[in-house]
Amino acid sequence: MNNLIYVLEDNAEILEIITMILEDFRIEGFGTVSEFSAGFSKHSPALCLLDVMLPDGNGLEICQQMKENPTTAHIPVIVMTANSSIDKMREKGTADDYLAKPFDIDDLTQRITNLI
Amino acid sequence: MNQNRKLSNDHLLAILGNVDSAIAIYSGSEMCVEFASQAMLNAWGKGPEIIGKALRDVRFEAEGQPLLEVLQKVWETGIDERGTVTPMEQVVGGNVQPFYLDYVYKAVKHDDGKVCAILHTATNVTDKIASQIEAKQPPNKEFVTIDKELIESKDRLRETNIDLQLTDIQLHKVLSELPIPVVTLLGKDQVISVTNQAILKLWNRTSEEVLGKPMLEVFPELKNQPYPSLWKKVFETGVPVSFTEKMVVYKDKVSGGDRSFYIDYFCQPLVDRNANRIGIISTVFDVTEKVQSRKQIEEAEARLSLALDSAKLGTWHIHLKSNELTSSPRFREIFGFDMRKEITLEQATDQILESHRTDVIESIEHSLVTGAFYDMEYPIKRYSDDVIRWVHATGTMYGATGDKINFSGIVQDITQRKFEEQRKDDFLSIASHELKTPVTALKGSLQLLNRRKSDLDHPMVPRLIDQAYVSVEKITDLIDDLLNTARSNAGQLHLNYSEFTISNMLEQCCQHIRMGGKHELILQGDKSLKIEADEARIDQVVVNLVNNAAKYAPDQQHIYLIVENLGDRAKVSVRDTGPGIQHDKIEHLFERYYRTDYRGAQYSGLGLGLYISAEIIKRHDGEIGVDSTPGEGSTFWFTLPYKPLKRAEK
Repeated sequence: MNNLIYVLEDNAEILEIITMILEDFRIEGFGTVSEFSAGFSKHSPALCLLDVMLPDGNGLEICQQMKENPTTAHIPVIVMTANSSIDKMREKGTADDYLAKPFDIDDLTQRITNLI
Repeated sequence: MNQNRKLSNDHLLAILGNVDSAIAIYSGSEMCVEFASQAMLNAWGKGPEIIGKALRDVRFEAEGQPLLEVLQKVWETGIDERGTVTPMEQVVGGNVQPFYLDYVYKAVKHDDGKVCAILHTATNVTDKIASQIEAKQPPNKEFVTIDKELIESKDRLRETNIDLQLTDIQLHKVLSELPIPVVTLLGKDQVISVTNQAILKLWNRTSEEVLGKPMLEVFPELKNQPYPSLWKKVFETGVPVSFTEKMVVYKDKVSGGDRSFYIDYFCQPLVDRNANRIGIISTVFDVTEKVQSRKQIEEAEARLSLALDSAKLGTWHIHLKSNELTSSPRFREIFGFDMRKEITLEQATDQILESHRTDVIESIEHSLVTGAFYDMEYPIKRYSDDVIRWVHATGTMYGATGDKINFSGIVQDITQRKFEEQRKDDFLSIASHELKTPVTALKGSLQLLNRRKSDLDHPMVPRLIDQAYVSVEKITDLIDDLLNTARSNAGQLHLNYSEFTISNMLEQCCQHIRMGGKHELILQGDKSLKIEADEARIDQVVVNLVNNAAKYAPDQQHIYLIVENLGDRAKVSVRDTGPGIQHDKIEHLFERYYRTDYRGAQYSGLGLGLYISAEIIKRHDGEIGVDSTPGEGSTFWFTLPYKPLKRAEK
């Protein structure tokens, strides 16, 4: 089974934590949107975990683009954010699930297994 | 009484007729109208045909006209009656206004004490009452007086045919007790010949002290005032003269101090039977109180205007029956109109942003219906330049009578305050968001450690403990940053200036990046350039910019630190070779940091660090910015002037 997860997160500590939490998966991390987009030319992940605020872009926009692109539309996306308006995002956004930061490690694991 | 009187009944009649005031004389229990001055006829709205009629046979339209029962009581008891009447409301200049008359019914008696006539005088005191009312209200247009209604020209009176049955003595008595100061002066020496009690009171003299003497002998202080030449002119030319609200100064006969009055003054020639001018008649109205009241109001208005102006408050007033808006120049300025021109209510409300217009109008209507105090904040688009401003408007209803017909208040531009509030909101937003990041890492570390707590030898454990430490450090740094930002917002950011060589500072900073091994920092440019600035803070800025560059630049890439001398200032640039920043993101990097779109997403700059860096550079009177070419990298730069405008401490 494909257990590759792409994580778009510019904070190195959080990326490392996530890698440790999801020890049953292969985690590939990207610090910028451009790196993330380039990653699709190599492999196709089973799930994407996206932070919202990146130095060169916005995770919600990336999610929308992925959903609109036929080659990536099938890939489940979870958006993580420290933003307080997560409810608004849930209402209007296109992601499959939303996770508020700081998150609980079991919660993260659960949501991912739900979608893969 | 003396035998030197030269004036006949006709003269006395002329005097009475020349008095520009409302007077009537009644005789007999049926109250036959013996005489009525033109002014009184005008107040009644009647013509001379009523002279000679019994009062009860005359029909008056308006209220408060001669009160037959009261007059009869005066006739029978010989006791005077007086009062204040509001006979009607007049429509003057589009506004409904009440008018007030003081009236006196005076019993004129024979020497034997029997009443021979009733003297009815009416004085218009609307101005006095109105100025008392006006003092309690916001200053407004001047009340239009209706003195004119009661003042009549001599010509019309001369045409009146009056059949007087009163005797000589009675007529003198009437004149004497007239409550309006009258004096006749004979000849070119202006000899005082006829006076009445009212003028003697004004002069503070007895009749013995003045009768038969020239005016200037009794009142030498009038020599340097305009009156003597005035009397001369009227006497010589026969042309009457009048003026309003002029000052006259008498000297107190005991202390010699000044007694000054404001008077309305009427001066007419006096002619004998053969139409020869023999002297002049002066009628004097003491309007001191009215003038002082008005001056007080004018002064209060001026002070209010000054206060409003310095507080930058605009005032507005809506007259509800006509929906007419009266606005102050400041009000128009706030809304972006020409300060000198009046605007309509519609023009003003059109400038309110559509999103708020209905709310504002509803709030006004609510206040009008319930009388509640009106208090709203709303955005407007300035007419002159379409710039959005926020205003705070308050108002209340009031009215002259029980009928509240005016709505008026103030408006203030609160844009500055609104922006401040917005900045505070932004700051809290940034702070909260920034803190959640290291807290996430910390929480994750601890939760993972918890899983492994029975197996502390697991290789992950030391790593997780390290992580936790790092996160706590970051939280601490962030709290410091937040505090600094709050302080700099409040203007409290403290700068310690010292002189240092920029490239030395650059070589020593950013150790953590150099140690990380992923990036190489390359120093370029002027290696000897010195600057006076807060070294620790500038270091902080460079660290922040390098951190950002590291984010954009993939591993093993160079980050360039460049120092340049621009003549009057130094420039430090941090260049990376990463993917660059999109143009539309650059605009907002240094401005408002957080804007949310419809999905609740936020466009960040690069977080608090950049915001703080911008503040630090600004406090040094420098500039900060970024140049970027997508695909080629970005250059974050800042400048520091050699001679900063403001300095905290050396």
